Amino acid sequence: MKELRITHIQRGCIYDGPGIRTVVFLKGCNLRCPWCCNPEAQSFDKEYFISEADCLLNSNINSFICSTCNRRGGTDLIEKCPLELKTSVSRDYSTDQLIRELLIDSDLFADSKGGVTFSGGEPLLYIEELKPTLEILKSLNISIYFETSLVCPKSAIETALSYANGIIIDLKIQPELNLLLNNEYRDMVKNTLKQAKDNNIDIINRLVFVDSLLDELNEISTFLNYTDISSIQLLKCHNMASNKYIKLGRESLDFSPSQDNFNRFAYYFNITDILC
Amino acid sequence: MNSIKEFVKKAIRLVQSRDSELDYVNRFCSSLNHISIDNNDEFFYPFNPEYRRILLQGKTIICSNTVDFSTVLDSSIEELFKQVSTSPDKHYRKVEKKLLRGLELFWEKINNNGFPDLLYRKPISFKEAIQKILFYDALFWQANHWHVGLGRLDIILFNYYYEDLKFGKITKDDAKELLIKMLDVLDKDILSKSGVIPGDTGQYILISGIDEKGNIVCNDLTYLFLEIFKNYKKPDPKLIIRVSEKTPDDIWFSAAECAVTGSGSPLFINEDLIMKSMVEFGYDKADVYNFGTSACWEPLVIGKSFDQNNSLAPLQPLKVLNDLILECHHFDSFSLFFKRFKESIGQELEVIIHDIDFDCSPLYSLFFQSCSRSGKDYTKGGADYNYHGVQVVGFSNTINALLNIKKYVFDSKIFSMEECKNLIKSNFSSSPEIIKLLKSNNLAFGSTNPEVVNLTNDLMIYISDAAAKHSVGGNKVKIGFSSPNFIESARSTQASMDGRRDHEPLGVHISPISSNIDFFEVLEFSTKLDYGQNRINGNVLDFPIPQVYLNHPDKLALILKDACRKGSFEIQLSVLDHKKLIEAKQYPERYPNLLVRVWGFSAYFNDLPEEYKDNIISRAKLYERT
Repeated sequence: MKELRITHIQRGCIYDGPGIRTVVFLKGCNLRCPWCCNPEAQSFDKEYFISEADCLLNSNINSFICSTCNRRGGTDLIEKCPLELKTSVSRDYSTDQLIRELLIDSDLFADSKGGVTFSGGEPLLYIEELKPTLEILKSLNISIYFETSLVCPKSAIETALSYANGIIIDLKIQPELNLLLNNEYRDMVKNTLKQAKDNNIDIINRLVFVDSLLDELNEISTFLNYTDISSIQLLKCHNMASNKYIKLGRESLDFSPSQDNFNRFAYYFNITDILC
Repeated sequence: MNSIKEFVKKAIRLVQSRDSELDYVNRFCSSLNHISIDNNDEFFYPFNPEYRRILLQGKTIICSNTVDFSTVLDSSIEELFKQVSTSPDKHYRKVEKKLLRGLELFWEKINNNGFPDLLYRKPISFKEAIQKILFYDALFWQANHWHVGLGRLDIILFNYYYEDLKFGKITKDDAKELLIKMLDVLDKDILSKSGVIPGDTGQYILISGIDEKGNIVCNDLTYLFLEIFKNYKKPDPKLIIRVSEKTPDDIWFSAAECAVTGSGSPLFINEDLIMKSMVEFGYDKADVYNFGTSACWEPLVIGKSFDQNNSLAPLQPLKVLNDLILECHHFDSFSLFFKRFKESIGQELEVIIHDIDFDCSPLYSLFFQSCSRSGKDYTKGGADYNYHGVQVVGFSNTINALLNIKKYVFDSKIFSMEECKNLIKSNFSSSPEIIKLLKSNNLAFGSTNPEVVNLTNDLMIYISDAAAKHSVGGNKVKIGFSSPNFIESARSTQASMDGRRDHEPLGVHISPISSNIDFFEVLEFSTKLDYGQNRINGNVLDFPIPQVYLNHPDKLALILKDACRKGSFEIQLSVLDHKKLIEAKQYPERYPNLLVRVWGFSAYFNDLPEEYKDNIISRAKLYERT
């Protein structure tokens, strides 16, 4: 059984499904949304954050703790830096290890009618590896949510829906992703929503707002009508992950929209569910 | 020969103590001459701070005790005369009767000005009950006792409230108004009641928790106090709530709603855990249902404890650690170093824990029924419990310093013990980058990593075992890990291996000093600590409420409930916004009423000394990064 590559387990979340939840961020995604706030969860490969800003050499500090560093003519690679400039962005978990972490808050889940939300990355790409964990959670009556783009095999969605109490669909209709007019994607969203409704699975439709959405208002209306989406939770794109891009050695692009544009879009579609 | 000397010493002490009790009564009664009644006030509060009783030189002030105000309400001067008359000790009878005569004379004076005969009977209304509490509370302050707690007012006042409500004498709103007026009276002398920091008065009101029959108290007054404190924008008094798994959800919710206002109230006390620990330590099972706290958070039994929980100098393990490093011995391993460090802690406790020559209190003794039975002042063996306590300060810094020494000196050998010595002595001036290294260690106080938890528990247990070898006044002592001295003690503590510079404030309570430990992790950490044996002298997790829960007190309530169920001892929450605090420091006129939690009390930010303001700002910055 392949291990679960996880970038972060966040406890005490209150916006990713009902109650108080633990969110598991799985590493690996089919998409490369340029505004992604979890860039470390895009690749399936092992990756590292490198904090060059914390390197003493870069600050012109000549310290005895750097005397063996290869940047100073020594032999030690960055992995040996005492300041731990290089850190893995993820950790591989076995089912047992993950379950142990998740059950720390089992009483809190019960009290708050919360549970576990699998996010990422694209969690559904791990659905086979997640099955034993999902079985255990289900047997303990712990609520399971998935936050997904639905850009994944149909079979993965069907398996996920067989365990899910709720599904958060992160709509990928921003023009930059070229999915708004993609019939296969539209059908995937439409069919998934229908299947979820038929099976009494809670649905949250979530959309990250970037300015380009204003250019496609008609197409978005068509998409929403076709997929039968009547409510959307709107998030304003932010640039808070810029440091993570830098530490991954990647360029950070800022897609933060103006408040006016955000308000215009929300007003146009009569969206009141705004997630800050 | 020695036994004769001891006998003579004892006899001298007895005579001195008897003199001091008479002196107390004389001075206290004279101080009452300086109190006058103003009929325009809703409540009469006989406290004149300028003419408080003056303590005898060399005596240690009595502080942080709570009289059982239900006993006070039931009392009458005549009954008190009868009670002291049955005392087996002639001197005790003499002192207490003299005091009671002084009170009678005082009453005659104020009665002429319209004050009712409340000293001679039980109150007959809710308002009178509040008045009688305030009357005696003021006298305790007038007698120069400090940190006078109010105790369980939702229980104590309930019957008076209920009767008035039943007979239509008052409405709920009237009761609320009277309670707010009571709080205002308690707050008005805040500066003269405070210690070094304005607001440090120890005036706490305790709500909820179980009653004598084991039922959770959640009456109208419990809810009213919570409702009042949601909008009460003054630092004093403060509210403490006893909680357990049995506490109703709406009480939890209301308490969380109160906490998110940022007033610092209420402090959450986990009563199941604390009552169990108190019994294990030596308190009677039948008494602990009525536990309260010393001023801040140190448990004691209301009306039965003379426990002075913070009168001894605090243990400063970081200083002990520094001294050991500066001695610069060679150690082959961390475990040998740690063993030697613990031995030094043991030696330090030998110095810290000693008998104290306390002030006396014939006035408190009137309301401690065991005093009349034994014929002893409540400070001289009259009280049922005399378990004094020691506080540990800078515990988080010490743990971090130890973890750093283990990692960098013994495991990775990045620097030597000799270099540690130089870093401390030079205040890191030669290698300031080492501060960054020391603060970057992921293994730090507050982390749930087993290595951190085990080291913390190991040291906690060692400290309490070492303390258990000593006594104060022949009684065993308690240890707590929430000392308020984190700034005072820091002044004499050199730089340390947790990355702290000379004189920088120490960490507070059971709280992390690293920005990579979040609310959930530190809550869990607090549940993993071992609060057994004598480690019951206050162990409070102090943390700002994460932004995400400020608009969701319902969720916060469940999180706190879960933490208590799992074993947090006490939780104190604040709301901090470092930008606002910086602006308030720069432009105090813009924030005249900005309340902040300091240690076990709240204060106006503007009233704090600069170093306390800076400390709160830096803590806000630190935790905003989590």
